[in-house]
Amino acid sequence: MTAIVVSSIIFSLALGLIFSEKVNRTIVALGGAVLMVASGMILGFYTEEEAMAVIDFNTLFLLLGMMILVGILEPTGFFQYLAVVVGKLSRGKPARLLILLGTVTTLISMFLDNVTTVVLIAPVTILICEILGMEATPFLIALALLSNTGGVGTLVGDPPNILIGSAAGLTFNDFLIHSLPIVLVVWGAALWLLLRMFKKDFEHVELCDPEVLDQLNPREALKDAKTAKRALVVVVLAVVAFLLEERMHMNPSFVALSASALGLAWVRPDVRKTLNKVEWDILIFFAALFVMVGGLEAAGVLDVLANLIARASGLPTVVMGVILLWSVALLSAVVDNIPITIAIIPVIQQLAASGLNVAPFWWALALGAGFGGNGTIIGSTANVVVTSLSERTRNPITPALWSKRGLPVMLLACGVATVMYVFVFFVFGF
Amino acid sequence: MIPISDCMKCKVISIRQDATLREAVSIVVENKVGTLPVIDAGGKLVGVVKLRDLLSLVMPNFINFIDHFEFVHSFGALDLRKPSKAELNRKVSEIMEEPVYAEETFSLMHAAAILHKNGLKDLPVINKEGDLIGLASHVDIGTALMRSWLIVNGDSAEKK
Repeated sequence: MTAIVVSSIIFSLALGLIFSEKVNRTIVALGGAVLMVASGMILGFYTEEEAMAVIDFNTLFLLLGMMILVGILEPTGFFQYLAVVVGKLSRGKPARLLILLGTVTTLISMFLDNVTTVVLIAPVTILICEILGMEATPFLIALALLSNTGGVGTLVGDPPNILIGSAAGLTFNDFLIHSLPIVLVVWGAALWLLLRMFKKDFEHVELCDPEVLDQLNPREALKDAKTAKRALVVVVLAVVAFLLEERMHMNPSFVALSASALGLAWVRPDVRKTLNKVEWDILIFFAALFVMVGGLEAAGVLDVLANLIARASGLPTVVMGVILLWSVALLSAVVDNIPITIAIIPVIQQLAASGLNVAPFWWALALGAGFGGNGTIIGSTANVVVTSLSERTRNPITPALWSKRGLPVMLLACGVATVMYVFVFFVFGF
Repeated sequence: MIPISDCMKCKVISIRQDATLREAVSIVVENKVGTLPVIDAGGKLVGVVKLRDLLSLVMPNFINFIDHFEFVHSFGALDLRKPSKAELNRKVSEIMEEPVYAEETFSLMHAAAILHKNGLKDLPVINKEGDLIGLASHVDIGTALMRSWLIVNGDSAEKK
């Protein structure tokens, strides 16, 4: 009992501190993990060996591999090139620019990390808006919301998906079959709502002659075409390998690391510079969270939770799925969705052990964690990053503005996702 | 040792801290100066407004994010960008920076080192009471300092 109380207190305190954003989340998680292991050793519910074993290296190495690939591709200016190309295609029409930039961002964020995608597309977005003489804020918000939404569609699009895929043994193809169709519908709805909300902003601007966009030269934005080509070939090979992973009995982490090894061998960048682009703080944050949640599990907290849920399982599975989707979504709007996901995964595993069919729960978790992050300025890392980028311009995004634009998108996305979820549940089954 | 007060301009164009940015802009434009020392009612140096700070009111935001923008061949709407009325009505005290200054007794090398270290072009000079009494540009200070290099060794006054 003491173990349950102590480990729950440590975990809740850590979550609270992460939520308050007073201390960097990686530092909090690392401190929490150390406290968890120390109290586990003193009270005898958790050992160092168990803590090491609970770290999901499949997740960590998949993330690491993808981050290295981005590190190779980023300095080539390829993303800048893409953004300039679609910017020119918009012919200076705001709505068309939003659709085009949103689509490119979404497509990239399905394969690469959302934050990276947003960080790479946002600067050119600001540039194009300034040249045309409009506010960049609506576009920046839309980029973050659409990349969050699109990322839910693939195994590698969003960290919660990587976690869920690894824990539930779901493959790249499973995500394409079950998640992507739902995401496509939700994404369309989100884009529709964004265009509607920003309609007024777009009508009132006096735009500069769109011909100024013709003066942008995408070829010059592409700094290193040769490296970009090689890196893209490697990314495509990785995606093909992801599609074949089941047949070839490979882990996604093995695919990602192989691809990054191939990329490094072919491009031979300055390895230190490339590895500097890896977000080590995120990887350490993940590892520390695994250790903390492992402590909760070892202390028996998750058993208690799972029993509580199982007792309430008189409810039909689809209702429980919808409840899970919305609770995760609401939680993810206020707290980082990564700790939420890491904490809920073992609960679902416990439910599976008690004989429940948990397949629908995995998808409810993925959808809720993915779409919930849109709700507030701190809901997802992409939101935080776009906001901090905007703080370096003269029109910073405020939390109030985000609630006005992001929250409706989150609610609509979760609503549409619920309908789709129920539809898929009854018509196709998960 | 030559003190900075020997090479500084004593007629300093300055601005009061309660003036508006519009007034600052008009003083900068009329006098073609790059640095405006800001003084309080008693003539004490309280800050500095640089031409660069005023220009940054209209600088493109994207240059904070994109290092090499050779691919941008036309700046479009940016070429016509002006600060809004509200922005020009802000007080100088809102945007002025902490002053970097020299006291009148500082040596030329001391003053040159301050400029060099802070990447500045002009250095306000104050007396013991903190009143603004002069301004020396890096050209004033640099040329005054280099003059001694031209004196052949052995001829220099200091050797005696």
